Amino acid sequence: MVPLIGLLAIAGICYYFYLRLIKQRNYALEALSSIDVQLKKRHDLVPNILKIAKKFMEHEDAVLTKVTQMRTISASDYDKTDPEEVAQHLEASKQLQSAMMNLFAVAENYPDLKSQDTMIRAQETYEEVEGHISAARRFYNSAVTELKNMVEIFPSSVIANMLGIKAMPYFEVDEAERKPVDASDYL
Amino acid sequence: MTIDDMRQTLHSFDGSGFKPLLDELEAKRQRAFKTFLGAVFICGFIVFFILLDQGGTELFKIAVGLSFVICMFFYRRMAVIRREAKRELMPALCHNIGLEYLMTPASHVIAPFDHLSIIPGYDEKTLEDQISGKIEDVDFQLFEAKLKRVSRDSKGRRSTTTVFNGFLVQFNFHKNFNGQTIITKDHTAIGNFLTGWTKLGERVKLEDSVFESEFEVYSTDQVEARYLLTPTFMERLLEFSRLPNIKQLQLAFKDGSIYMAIKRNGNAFEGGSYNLNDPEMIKQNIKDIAQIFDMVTELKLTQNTRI
Repeated sequence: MVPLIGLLAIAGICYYFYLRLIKQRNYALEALSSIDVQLKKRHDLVPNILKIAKKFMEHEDAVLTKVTQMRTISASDYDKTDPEEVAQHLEASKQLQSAMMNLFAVAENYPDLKSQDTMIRAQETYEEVEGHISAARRFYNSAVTELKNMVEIFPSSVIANMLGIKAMPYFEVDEAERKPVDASDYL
Repeated sequence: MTIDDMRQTLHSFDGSGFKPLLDELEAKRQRAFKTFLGAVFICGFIVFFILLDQGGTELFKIAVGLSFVICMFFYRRMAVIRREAKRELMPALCHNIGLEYLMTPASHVIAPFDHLSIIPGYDEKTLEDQISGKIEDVDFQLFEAKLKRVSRDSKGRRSTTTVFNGFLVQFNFHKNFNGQTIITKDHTAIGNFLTGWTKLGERVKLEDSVFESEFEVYSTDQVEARYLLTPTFMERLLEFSRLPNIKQLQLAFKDGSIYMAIKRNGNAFEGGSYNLNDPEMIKQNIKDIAQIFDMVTELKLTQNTRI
């Protein structure tokens, strides 16, 4: 009788950790989806900004092409359950953000473009979208921390290993991106 | 008018025009006070005489009850005169800076706060001193609320407990929020567990450990909650909640507005002085009104992004 109770207790504990792991993984995936929702908004906004910018920045082909390339790469499909693909996807979105920051920095040298109502509105909308991306990133990182703790700390780490659940990569902001952009670097 | 202009105009308010009126009301108040003292003395004398003559009989009890009612009647006359002074002074102070003042707000103004879990449940409410208007491009409405819970003991005796005393404020963000985000006081792990189920939405875990130790955040939209509660805004909220006259701060974001429940000590907009013609009374009211500006500047609500 005692061994049976012991076995049941162990099975119960295992099931509890299994439930928490699955729940946490789904939570992290949900957070990842919320990032994608916000990234999609940026993705949709970029062509409008490029269209306005192209009228004034005829000699900045390199900057504009970089944005277009990064936009295409960041929009490609990926497997959400594969941490490596997720990391690549997040890295691509960071590259797009970086390219956009360069674009706005270079745009500073075009007063006519800067004072365009449509450009001002587009930039405001872009900043709003970036605010939402930042919020989604914080949500995602918080969910990833919870999952990472479960995947790496015993005893849930054993069950995670058995189920093949892996920690997901953080969506971190590069130190370079935290610094203000110096427009002269791109002239 | 910018917030700085409003603040300057408020603080440079010339109260000399009110002096004759306040002198007159003060004279009335002093007469009412003397009448009240006289009533207390006469009633006390009669009650004492009955006690000596007849002891603790029914007549004595009736005399005590009657004396209490008479004294309260004269006491209330003083309160009426004080309210008259307030009725003249507060609208003038508010109109001077382009705001509206209402001494007794409509009872429904509290309705938006009722379902937000930022004020406790109550049975009785007293609402007063509603100030509304616009500070730069931010529409707001503030009123003072005293909320009481009524309970009865086994013998059916009624007792009341004040569960909230302070300001209820609504600032319009001119931005639409999809979800509802509530920021309440942290009640420790057990308290949060017991009260958490009453809140709409899921708990939001934030990175700022100091903020987390003082507040609990619940939201129906995890991303939006973090969009509203940026690290900078969390810092501002912490600083605001530590202002000396604030006992407790709870707030909610819903339908483009930020709702704040600010528990504080004492009654605002009553003037600090007993004498109605004391210049200190106007100064105290000005300080109380200026608290609205403190809220706006501390939380930087007039900035374009507001977050």
